[in-house]
Amino acid sequence: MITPDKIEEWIQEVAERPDSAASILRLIANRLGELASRNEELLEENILLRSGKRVEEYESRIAHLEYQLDLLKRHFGGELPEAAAAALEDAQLATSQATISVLGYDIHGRVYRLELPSEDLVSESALGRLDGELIPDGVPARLLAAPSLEELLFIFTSGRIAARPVSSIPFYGSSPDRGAPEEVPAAPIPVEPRLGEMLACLAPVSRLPLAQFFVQISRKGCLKKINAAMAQSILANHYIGTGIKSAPDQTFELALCGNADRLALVSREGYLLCLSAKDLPFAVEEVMRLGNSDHLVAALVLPPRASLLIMTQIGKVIHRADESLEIAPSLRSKGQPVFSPSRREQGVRVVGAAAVNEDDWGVALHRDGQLSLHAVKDLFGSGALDVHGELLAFAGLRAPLS
Amino acid sequence: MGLRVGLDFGTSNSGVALYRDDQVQLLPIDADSVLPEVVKSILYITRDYQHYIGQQAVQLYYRHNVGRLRRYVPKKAGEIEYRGADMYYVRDVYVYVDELQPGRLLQYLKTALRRAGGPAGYAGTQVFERYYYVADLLQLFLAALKRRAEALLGEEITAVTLGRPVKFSDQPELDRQAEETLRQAALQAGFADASFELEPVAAALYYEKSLHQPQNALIFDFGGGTLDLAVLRLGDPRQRQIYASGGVGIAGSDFDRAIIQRRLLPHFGLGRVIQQPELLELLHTIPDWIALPELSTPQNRYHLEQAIQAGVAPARLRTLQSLIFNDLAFSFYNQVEAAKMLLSSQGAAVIELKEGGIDLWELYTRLQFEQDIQEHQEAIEQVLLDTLAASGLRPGQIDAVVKTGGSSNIPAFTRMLGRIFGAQKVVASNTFSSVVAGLAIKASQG
Repeated sequence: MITPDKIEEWIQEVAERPDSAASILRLIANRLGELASRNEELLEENILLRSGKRVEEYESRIAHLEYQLDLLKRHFGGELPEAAAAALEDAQLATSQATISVLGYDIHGRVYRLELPSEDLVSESALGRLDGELIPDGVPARLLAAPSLEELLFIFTSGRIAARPVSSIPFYGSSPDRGAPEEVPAAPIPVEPRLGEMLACLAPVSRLPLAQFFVQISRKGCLKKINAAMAQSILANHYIGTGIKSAPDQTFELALCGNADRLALVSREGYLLCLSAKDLPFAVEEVMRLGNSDHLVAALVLPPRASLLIMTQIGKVIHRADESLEIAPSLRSKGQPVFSPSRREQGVRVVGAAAVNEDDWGVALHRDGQLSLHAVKDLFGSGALDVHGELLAFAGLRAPLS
Repeated sequence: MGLRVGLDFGTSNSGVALYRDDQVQLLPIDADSVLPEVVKSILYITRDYQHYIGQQAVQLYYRHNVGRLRRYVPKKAGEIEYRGADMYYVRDVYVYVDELQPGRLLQYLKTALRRAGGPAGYAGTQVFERYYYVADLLQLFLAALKRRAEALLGEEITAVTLGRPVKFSDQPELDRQAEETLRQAALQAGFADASFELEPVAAALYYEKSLHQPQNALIFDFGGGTLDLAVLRLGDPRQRQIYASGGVGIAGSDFDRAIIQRRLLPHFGLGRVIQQPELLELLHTIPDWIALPELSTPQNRYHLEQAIQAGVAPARLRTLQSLIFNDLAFSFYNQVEAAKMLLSSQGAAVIELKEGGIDLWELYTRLQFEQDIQEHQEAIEQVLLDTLAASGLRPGQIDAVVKTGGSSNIPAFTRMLGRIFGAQKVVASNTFSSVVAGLAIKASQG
């Protein structure tokens, strides 16, 4: 604060010691420069306040925070705010709170949903049989198991996204070995693909507020990471980008991770690449060099102490323990083979992989449309599962809060 | 046989030196400091009772404390008994303790030593669950200095010559107690033998090394805590004579306090806060370096919030709140001290604090500073003249006035010495190291 008395004292100092004038002048000029710059900032802030832009920005931030809170509450089973709760039917919510959903989906956007209780699961049981074309346009249906309280992001090959709660997708009952396997009728299309685009994947995103990055992975081994702070604009614009470098490649997977996480990429021809999330590029880069006939079948984040379970189409289980998963020293690597070249030549292919612990479960989709449930410890014990024809897809299944 | 070193335990800064082969070796005790031979007399004790000194203590304190969380829990402090309506009542008394506090920073340990004696003296302090007497705190500091010095020299140090002010206290009994406390602390710190030398005499011993003929010298040792004076005959060690010594408990920290009181309190609301006694009490505590860190209590936060909500100087009280609750006291005192030091070489300086949302800026001139310490200047001049009179010498009989210590660089005092003795007689000795160098010389003589 500058008062007339102080100014008088500064003048006295200069009168006493003229040499002080220069330093006083310099110090005051510095301060004036600082204050002028701050004044400009305040004026700009004032303009933003008066024009309502600042209010809009804060409203948008509040909306985003509310959205994240909503996601967290759904994930952890907390109570929803009134407005959000009204959007969901009470009965549906009550049913879904303690269940796990197994989702089978294809590139045309069809999503089959089965609900399982989170307890009393029976290993080697049949869950049901999917109806219809399981390999449309040569691309097999994929599987995802997620808590029914999850929020799903539908990611299309055009880069478009749409968010839907799992519970909003109609389901067809569940009967893990409680009677005859149920025939699942034609699946609904919760989000219709637009002309020229296909459904690339479904990604559970309720952990978004806890994640640091999105990692977008393409079929041919390209990826980029996106700061989770961008989530607000991504969700608001319904667009995340394709994440590919050139046309034949397509968007494949979206994962959420933190800086300390590891990302595992598994290809159809049996190559595995493990990467540290902190080293992933922000621009799209080819991180896994795949052969012309090869493409990714799984891209997943490995939690600490989780093993990797890789499933082949003949039902053979390949287990990679946590300590044996080595982080690739550099990007653009071919990865490590998970089975021998002779097996590859014989036609063995990978259909899916999952990050699992001993107490987890796995779901397999067979060529005849049957969905079967398996305890991971049984799979590790026997090293294989009974296959009806061949397997099309495999996914891990964890308890909702695990 | 181990080494004998000189140890200057100063109010603001300390140092250790060894005299060997006719050379004074100042030990770079604090590698993190700008001047490694000078270690700040600061002790930081963490919650797990680890202790750190000097620049390391400062850095750790900043890392642990600035912007940290607090959680106050009531803790029983004792009980009080009171009488009312012909009955006695006993009631428990609780104090609020910040259970997340990571450590305690202790400054001005030497001043604590000066205040340690007497019934109302400063006996020690509670650090978490342990009570530290002043001697315990000194022991920790001296032991750390000893360890560092031994690591540098690669030999054991068995004996130390410590500097002491001419007067720890005006009362002889308290003065004796203070020296004894410091001696015991040194012995507990691991020195087998601890002796003392007056600080101005130590500075004289160092100065004497540069003399070629005997002369009468007045040592003006003006540091962070005290002004110490000595009038001596120097130049021939066999005929060295101390004519008189004197001192006063006025020094750098008093000037800092004067600056805060006269110039900076309005930034925190003084003059705008009128009818809130609890806030006025807070404001008047700001210059007290011991009490300021203790102000961060829930009650004070409540009083400040209430006043801010009521529109009583909200911006200034927000500054006060930030100073107290962001643990910025140490930064604040440092800024004041830094500006004061700058005024020794230039006519104006800025006292600036820009942390924790505070934007404090005060242009401060040398003239203002001299006005603010006018009272102290007069007291110091009086002590100087009294000491000179006690020596039986007149100003004209003094051949050299040797000034040492950080505060001796203040131009007003250089002018004062020049006015009394003649400017050509005033010589500057090594500001921070002449005392410790003299102590090392003394130590080498056994």
